[in-house]
Amino acid sequence: MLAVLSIIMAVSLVACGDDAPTDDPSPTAPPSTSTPASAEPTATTDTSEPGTDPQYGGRLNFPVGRDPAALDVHQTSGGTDGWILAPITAQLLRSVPNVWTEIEADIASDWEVTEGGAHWTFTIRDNATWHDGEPLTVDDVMYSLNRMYDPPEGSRVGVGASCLIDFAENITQLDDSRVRIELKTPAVSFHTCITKPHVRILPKHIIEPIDQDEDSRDLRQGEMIGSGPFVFAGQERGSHYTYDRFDDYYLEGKPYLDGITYYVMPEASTQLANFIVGTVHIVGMFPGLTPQQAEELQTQMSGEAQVIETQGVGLQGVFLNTASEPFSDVRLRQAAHLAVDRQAIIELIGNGSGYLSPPISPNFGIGYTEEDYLQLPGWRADKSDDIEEAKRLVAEATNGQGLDVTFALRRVVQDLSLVLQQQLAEVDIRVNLEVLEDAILRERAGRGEFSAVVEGSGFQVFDPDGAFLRHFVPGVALNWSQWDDPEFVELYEQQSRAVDRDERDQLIRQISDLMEREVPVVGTASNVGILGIAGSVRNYVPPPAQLDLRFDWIWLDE
Amino acid sequence: MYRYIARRLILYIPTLIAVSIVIFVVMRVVPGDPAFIILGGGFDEASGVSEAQVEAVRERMGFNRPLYVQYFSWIWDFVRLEWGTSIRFSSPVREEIFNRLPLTLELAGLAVIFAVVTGIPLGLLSAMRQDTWIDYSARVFSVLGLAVPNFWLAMLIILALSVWVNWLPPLGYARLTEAPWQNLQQMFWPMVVLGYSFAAYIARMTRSQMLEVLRQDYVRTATAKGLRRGTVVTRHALRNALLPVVTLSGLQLSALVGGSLIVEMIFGLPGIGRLLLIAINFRDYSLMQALILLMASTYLTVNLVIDLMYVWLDPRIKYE
Repeated sequence: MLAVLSIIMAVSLVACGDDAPTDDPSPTAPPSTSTPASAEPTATTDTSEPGTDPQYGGRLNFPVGRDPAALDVHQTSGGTDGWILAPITAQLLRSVPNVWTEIEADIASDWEVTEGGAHWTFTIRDNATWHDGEPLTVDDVMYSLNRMYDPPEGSRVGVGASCLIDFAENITQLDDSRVRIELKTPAVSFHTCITKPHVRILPKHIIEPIDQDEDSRDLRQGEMIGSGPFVFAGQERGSHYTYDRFDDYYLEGKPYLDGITYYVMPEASTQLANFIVGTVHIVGMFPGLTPQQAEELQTQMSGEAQVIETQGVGLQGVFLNTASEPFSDVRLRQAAHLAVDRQAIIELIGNGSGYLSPPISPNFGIGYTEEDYLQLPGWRADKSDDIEEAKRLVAEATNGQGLDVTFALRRVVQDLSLVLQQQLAEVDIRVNLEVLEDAILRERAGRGEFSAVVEGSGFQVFDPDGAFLRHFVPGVALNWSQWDDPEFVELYEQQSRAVDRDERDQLIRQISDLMEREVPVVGTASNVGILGIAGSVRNYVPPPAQLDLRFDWIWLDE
Repeated sequence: MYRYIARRLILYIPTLIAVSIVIFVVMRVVPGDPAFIILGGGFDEASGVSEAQVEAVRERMGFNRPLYVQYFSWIWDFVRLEWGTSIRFSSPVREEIFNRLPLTLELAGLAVIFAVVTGIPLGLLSAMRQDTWIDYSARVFSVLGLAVPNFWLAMLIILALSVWVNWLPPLGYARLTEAPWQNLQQMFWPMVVLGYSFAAYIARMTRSQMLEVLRQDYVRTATAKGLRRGTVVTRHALRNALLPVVTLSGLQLSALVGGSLIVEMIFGLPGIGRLLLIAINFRDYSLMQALILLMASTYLTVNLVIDLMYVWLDPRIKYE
């Protein structure tokens, strides 16, 4: 009991030091050894546990850190937004639940990839209806896709679906049941865009009048109509969002739950307390549990709950402004990379639990593995040669003066930044830490008004293209490093078209090599994600990234 | 008396105007371009934002107008309850605030009631039983109430309930008018947390005021006349001793309207304290300005009402 008390007190103290929740908590997942999702149709995978039949009934209670930014999922982009709004709506294709690295049919009952990956043709199922009884037709699909692809001017529509703009050249209705998306260039990872949580199909008869007559304002409660497994039953902003089972869901026999309720609980200690009492079924999605809390929770609630560790595919590190001094000098970037001791970060910040966070995460299952990275300069455990080389580079670049530089950061990464400050001081890079509020850092980062930003980034697509399109392709809004490398652009385009897995693997390794040389970002290390899942929850494996969580595949055994 | 009332009323309006100017200026001075934030949305959103787009938003939101024009436009809209649209929630600011205000008012009201109901009797008892174990216990209670931060107390209550009692208030805020019993279960412990420190203050103030009043000549006279102790205390001493408490209660009520943020966060209550934190973190200017001005107006108005109540409470003012 005292141990549990100490868990919650520790969480409380940590929570007191935290800023308001970030939009995108660190993604968590089991390390994936599966191949990345194929571009071809796959059969739906049976994800139920062997010997366990689904049970109907019960309500899933799920704590989240904040309200969604809007009820119109097209006007959101944060991970939490996607989680809360997912159960009501559906997508053309979806990630296979509990597998996550494969895709399966959803509103599109079938799909075809032709022209070397440049044409994606979707056949819309004929048995889907909206929650208000109207049939879901190809018109709804076309309207939703075009709405995200060419959003109403001045609105926030499409903020979470910018990948459509990045990938697509044209969206066409072929006939009464088929839609085709033609890509600018063939892209093997386009499926990651289509399965992104915010790329969802909304009812045209609800949305179009709002777009035309009301400047695309946000949806109201009565307009929360979808085709997903659950019907929007009500909300109390700041408190909870309630969904009830949709009996006419197009996937027969699903969902198993009677409903879902999302409870808004900004405080980690409150989430944990409610998990212990049993009023919520999952804890640690946001924010995550620490290793000590997990250990004690496992001891106290043994048999009553599962505590599982997961690794994500995000990126945590220092984004160096390559377009201006001092980090326009590649020697200083390389020195910073060599000086950082990732194992020490894992020990100090993660209490021994953590994993490397290079620009292209090994957890994508393609490119270099973690074992490969541990052989590379900068990433290896033995730092003696790295430190000497880093000192030499700094001395050479600064004529022996050393470097004074400011790192901008948010409070949530302050611990990591303090460790980095000490490590870089060893190689004569003297770092001044500037803690900024979200709004200020957002503005300055967007304008490139900094030398370096310490930041963690979660991805909503489970593919290296998620990292490339988010942070490294020239011109993307979150290219905080202002990186514009022709060699990278060429390799990126080649790998995005490479259908052969081995070929793509080689190209991605070449990109990794380039990034090790040019260092637009100094990847560091991330803490493992730790979740608590109530013993009554069945058939749930957390996703590796911020993917679709509409919970139509899980059940409760209460 | 009339001069007293007139003075208070005359001071109220310029004070309110001055507060509104301060709020307006501070909002414009703090770093962070609101137009950029409106377009950029969440910190890590991938939407591209160009300078041309930012300028277009500035034009649409009126940020390009002279400051005095913006100020008067804002004040005029505020008076008409046209508080704009929340950047964060994409919904009318008025709707967001009025949706959450009842909770905060209820919580603040309950906390004040708790504090008064607990603090006054405790202070009274402490004064009447000065230097006894009752007095010492009450004083320990008071000191703890003043020393213990309310967020720590809230967390302690949460963990004690969850670990020792295996029970927490029901999840999902229920309005008083819809599910009163569930509402009271949810509001009870937040009420205790918020009210405790104020109760401690009231207890200490009541005690010291009572001790002072009980030493007055008129109280000695009343006792000498043969009145029972209880009658002397309640009819002659208490009313004079409680004057400062009345002032405090009113001011505390208005302070709690904006000061319940931490308790709302910990207990998961969707009040305007939490709303203000969201507004600040996301630079939701419309929401921030409306909330702060509303809180300031509330504080000044309650202050005015308390001052005017003194005309009735304190006969000395009537004869000024």
